[in-house]
Amino acid sequence: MSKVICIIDDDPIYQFLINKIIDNSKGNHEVMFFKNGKEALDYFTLDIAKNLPDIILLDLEMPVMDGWDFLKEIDKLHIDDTAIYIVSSSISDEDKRRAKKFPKIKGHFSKPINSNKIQEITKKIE
Amino acid sequence: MSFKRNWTKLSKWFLTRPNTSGTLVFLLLLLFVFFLVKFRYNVAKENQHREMSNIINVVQQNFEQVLKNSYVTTLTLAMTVNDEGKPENFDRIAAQLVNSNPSIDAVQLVPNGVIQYVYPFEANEAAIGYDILNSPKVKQEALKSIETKLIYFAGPLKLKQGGMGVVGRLPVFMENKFWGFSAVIIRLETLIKVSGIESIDDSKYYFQFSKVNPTTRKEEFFLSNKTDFSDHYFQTVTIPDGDWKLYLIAREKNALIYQVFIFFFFGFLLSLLFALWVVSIMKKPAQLQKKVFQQAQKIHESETEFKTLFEQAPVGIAKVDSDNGDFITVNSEFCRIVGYPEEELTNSNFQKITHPDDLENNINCLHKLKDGSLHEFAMEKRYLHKSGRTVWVNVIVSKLWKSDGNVKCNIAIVEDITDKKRAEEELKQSFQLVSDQNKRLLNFSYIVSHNLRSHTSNIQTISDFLESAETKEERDEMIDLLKRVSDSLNETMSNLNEVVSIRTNINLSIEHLNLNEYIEKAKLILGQQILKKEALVQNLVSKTIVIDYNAAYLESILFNMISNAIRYSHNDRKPEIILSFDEETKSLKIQDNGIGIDLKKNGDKLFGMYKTFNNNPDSKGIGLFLVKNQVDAMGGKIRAESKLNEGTTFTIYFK
Repeated sequence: MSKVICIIDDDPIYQFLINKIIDNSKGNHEVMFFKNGKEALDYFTLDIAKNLPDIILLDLEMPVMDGWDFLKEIDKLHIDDTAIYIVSSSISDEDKRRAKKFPKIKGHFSKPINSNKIQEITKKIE
Repeated sequence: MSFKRNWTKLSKWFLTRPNTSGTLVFLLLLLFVFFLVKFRYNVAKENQHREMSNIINVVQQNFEQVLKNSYVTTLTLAMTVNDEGKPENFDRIAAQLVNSNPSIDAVQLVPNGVIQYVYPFEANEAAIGYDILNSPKVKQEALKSIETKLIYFAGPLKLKQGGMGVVGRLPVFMENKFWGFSAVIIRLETLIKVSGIESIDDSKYYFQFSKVNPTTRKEEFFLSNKTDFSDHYFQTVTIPDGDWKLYLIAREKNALIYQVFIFFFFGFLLSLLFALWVVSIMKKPAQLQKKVFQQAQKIHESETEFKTLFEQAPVGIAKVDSDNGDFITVNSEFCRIVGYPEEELTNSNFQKITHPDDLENNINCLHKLKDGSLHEFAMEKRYLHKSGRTVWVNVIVSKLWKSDGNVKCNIAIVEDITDKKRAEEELKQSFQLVSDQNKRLLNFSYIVSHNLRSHTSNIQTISDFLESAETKEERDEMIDLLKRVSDSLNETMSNLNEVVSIRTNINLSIEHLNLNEYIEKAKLILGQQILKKEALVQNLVSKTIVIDYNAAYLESILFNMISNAIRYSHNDRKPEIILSFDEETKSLKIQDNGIGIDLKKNGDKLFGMYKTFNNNPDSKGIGLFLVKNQVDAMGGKIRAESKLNEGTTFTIYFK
């Protein structure tokens, strides 16, 4: 079952690499990229019904609108069908604690991420 | 006044010396008794004297009466002698004379000194024929009466007819020639009886009767009473007709002295008792006086102690009127704390020296104290020292109850805590400093870990792909990616290195730098960008402004601030940047008309590392982070004001 996976991250190398990993995971998933939270949000709100992805892999440190601010904004949209995962280079406990305050967050991964993890995530929401 | 004072002094003197006063009272009373006794003695003596005189006079009169009678009798008897020298009717007349005169026991006629006629004859027969003039015992006295031609009483002597008696002889002359004697014989018992000697009260007095013996010239006593009475009181009269002496003698030797002595003794005893009574009475007030004095001494001592305690207390103490806050009493420590002398404080109130920011709270507490909702309160407050500086104190205020239950005053105990407060403030500042540093350190470590990890995770992924790469194309693609990661990592490392160098630079060289010149230098370096954006950079800083700063930091700060202002310019207008200096606050203002920053949203991230707020590809989020670190390192601060789409103003305080 192919999914729509949304990557929100400002690192172009990561974007390239994650795209390759999802390709290799043979799920035939559709991938979209945003450089920061604001760009993603702007796109979602253009047409909430159509544009929302199944899975969001969210980075925390980004310019313009970071992961936390994005979470605050997406909360206001009341969407239930999208699973949000944090994928950050941060390994700090503080960030993990903070993430727990958002019930929408399904999981928290530290980079690097590999195809196994992508399969794990996509299987969970089937 | 002075009399009264002297009197009080005197009475106090006596009241405090009961023994002395008692002795004085005793002596005074004794003196009084002495005079009284002396007076009484005189009166008694006078009385005795008068009484004895009366008695002795009566006896004397009786004697004289007897002698007169005798004289008359002898004279009458002499009349019986006729011209021839012969007595006529002797017996008859003699009988008449003797019988009519109880005091006379017998009569005689003694012609030529020889007793020839006697009456009563029977009792006196033995005397007949006795030649008086030739008897040596009686001759002298007989001759004396012839010589004086007066009646003379001889004796008392031993009578020829027995017993003792006196003989009164009247010499009779016929034609100037001695004829003989006409004599009366009075027995001693009779004489004593008629004289009344026996009728006196012999408990007090007794008589003695004496005559100097004409032969022996010795005084002879004729009464059976004691003859040695020289140490007794006595009175005496002389009867010349017989050369007799009558004594009236007080029977008791010292009767008067004895009487007076008893009187004196009782007086002495009474004086002594009275004096003792006075002493015992006076000792009570004296004891009370002593107690009062001791109590007063104690009160004085405790007052002195309290005064010393109040004055030398190591805390400030002030008694304050609870109605208007006037100072009533203050101690020296309180004066020292607030710096005012006592006279100035007691003419003032606490409101005047309390810091205006603390006054309201202070007055509220005092109201609560007054209406009873607080019994006492403690607060930290500030006083304004006379010198103008602020003094921090810890003050405890409570009501000062009076014994009648009213409250007129409050008592405030004041402790100077200025040093403590200062230390607290310093501690707070250093805590702030440390927590700021700690925050920066955490932030930095986060930055380090995050920025390095983002690269290492990419490297890890790439190496995974490299391992599993099947074609050369795939491998080359990965190696190319690896190069990009490496460049990026290199840049991150150099940025971090710069930050670390700022933070570890403790001994920075400080120089006098002309601010205007350094701005011009930065403008020169940024010339290309300024030209490209057609920016207007106005340097309004006076050419005379010199600041003490590290040259490299100043260059970096100016470069970053101006280049930021140009970079984030608004698309609708040409960038205008104004740099001005405020000499008062020693601050540089950099004002632009750029896109602005939403400070509400991003204020806390503004000076963070790798924080960017727009999609400008040149944004690295490192410039402001470095500026902030450099300004901090020089002990200054940086502030930002901004409005979205209008512009941003940064202010850098050099110190």
